[in-house]
Amino acid sequence: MRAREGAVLLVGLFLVALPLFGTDFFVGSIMTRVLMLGLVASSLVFLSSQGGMVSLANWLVFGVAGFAVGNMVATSGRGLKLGWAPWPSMVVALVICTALAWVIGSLSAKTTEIYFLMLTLTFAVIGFFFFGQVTTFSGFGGMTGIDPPAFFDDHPIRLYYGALACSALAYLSFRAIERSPFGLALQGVRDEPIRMASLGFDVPRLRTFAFTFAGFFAGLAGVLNIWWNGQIDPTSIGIGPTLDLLIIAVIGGIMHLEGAWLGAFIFVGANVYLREIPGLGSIGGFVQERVLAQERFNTVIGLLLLLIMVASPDGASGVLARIHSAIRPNASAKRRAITIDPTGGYK
Amino acid sequence: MAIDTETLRDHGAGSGTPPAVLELDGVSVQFGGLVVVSAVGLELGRGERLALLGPNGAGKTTMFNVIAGDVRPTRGRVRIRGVDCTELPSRVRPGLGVARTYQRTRLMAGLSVQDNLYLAQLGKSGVRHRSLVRRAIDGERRDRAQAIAERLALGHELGTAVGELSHGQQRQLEIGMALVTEPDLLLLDEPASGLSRGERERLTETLLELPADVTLLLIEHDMEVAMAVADRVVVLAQGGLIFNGTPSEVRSDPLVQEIYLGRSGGDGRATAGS
Repeated sequence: MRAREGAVLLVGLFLVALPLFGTDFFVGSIMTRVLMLGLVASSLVFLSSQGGMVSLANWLVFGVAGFAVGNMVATSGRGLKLGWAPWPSMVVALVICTALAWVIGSLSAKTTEIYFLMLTLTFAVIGFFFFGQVTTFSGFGGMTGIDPPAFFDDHPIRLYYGALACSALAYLSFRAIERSPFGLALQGVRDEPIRMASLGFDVPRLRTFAFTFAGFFAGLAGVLNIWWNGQIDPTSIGIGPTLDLLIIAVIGGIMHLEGAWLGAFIFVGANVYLREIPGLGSIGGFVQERVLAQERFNTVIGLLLLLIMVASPDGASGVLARIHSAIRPNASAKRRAITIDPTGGYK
Repeated sequence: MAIDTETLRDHGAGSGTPPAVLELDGVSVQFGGLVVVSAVGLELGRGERLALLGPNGAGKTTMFNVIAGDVRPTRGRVRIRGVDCTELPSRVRPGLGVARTYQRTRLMAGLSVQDNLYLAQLGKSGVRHRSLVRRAIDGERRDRAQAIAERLALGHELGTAVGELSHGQQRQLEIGMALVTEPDLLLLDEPASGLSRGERERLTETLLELPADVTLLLIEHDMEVAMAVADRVVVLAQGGLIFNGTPSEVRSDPLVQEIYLGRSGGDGRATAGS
């Protein structure tokens, strides 16, 4: 077993055992959120690392899952109020998200780089205004009181395990794809789409399929999130949170699948624990009851991002890879040969 | 649009006498007011080896891209093995037995040599739904990739990321990507570009060892390589075809010498555009 698989297995076992010794707040609040954010970030890291597609629409798919479940499950308040049971609603929400990802993917698949980024951002903005302005489905006030299935509601720790199981499923699926013929073709498209077309590959179709696949997992995270949170509003799928997802992926390492969850851990950890540091909230004359307000959190996470990007362009997982390289130089030589340099070779 | 290349092959094969491997019929390419290729007609039979020569800007690569499906002609038709490919995208060509290389190396730099050669074969056969779950370690394709890599002196680099290879090795792999698909029509765009003398000699040997039924269309500025490999030469100038003959005839043709080799050239070592 290689070091990477060994480390992931150890972390996995630790996470399985975590509820035995972790506090309810740490497990049920922090780590459940880390796993859900890691899950949706992994869909972005998969697209980016294997397909060369840095998408800003994954968070929209995540949000649509929440709105879909909310509309189907809620019996009062805003939205359709269909009053369906949670489990069938989950299935329908996943179908909607996967179909939406296919539509966005097929419309964006013929563009690359900055054009792809901008097109997916456009979809994200459309989604924000759609749910804000179409009161049939939500309105800017959002939806509240969305109950999870009784299975999760009775025992909140089960939602943690649900998020862990979905994360494991996503991780194993994305890793399996990496070495499958489809995954190799996708990586070929990432490196040389023109060559891949001349070799006989339908490049837009490959990209669309990858986007759809990623959309399924983004939707899965969205369903878990609405069960955990019980509410959703259009602001939560606005440009700010959309960029937060990109920040999570970059902090963790956008070319490393594990980086998705590592980035989510750093992001959520900073969000929760840095708020408690006295004095940080008063930086720049903004006194917010001696705790870190959202405005200062953005500053801190921005500085953290800057620090990580300067120290390690391939994120926190890149730092771990370097530590491993320092310990085992032979393995590092091999790793260099298979890792894309996000700086493009400029030092 | 789903295109069944098997049906295209059958269609081409079912028309009586074997069609030419490649037919260009009055092909013109115009970008705005600029005519890059002007009414070029060309026919290549099975096993023919044709060198396409011409000074820089003559329209060679544009014509090459028309054949490969990367550029759609403004007028005229392109037929490959009897199938009209004029409107068909480049991805259909491998299914018709066409393989091409690029003037500027276009390889999947983040993947290994073996994976590049594997993808070239996978592209020809098509990605099916089972490709999602089947492991990439596909014996037959891996073996063929290894055989081609060894033939091109890349056998010891199979696991190396292509971005780590030297320029010469990448050019060799560029050829390998085409050869591994066992093409009927091989399109090579300046394969000797940037190669050392030894590498050019190895390239010439590789091309001379091609199976007799492989049809070759070669753009090459290195006359030594072009004349050694080709049994027919066409010369393009300002988008038009000005010469069609044997390598020995092209050396003595005054018009070609004047516009291409230069009057003092013709020693077989001149390079176009120089």
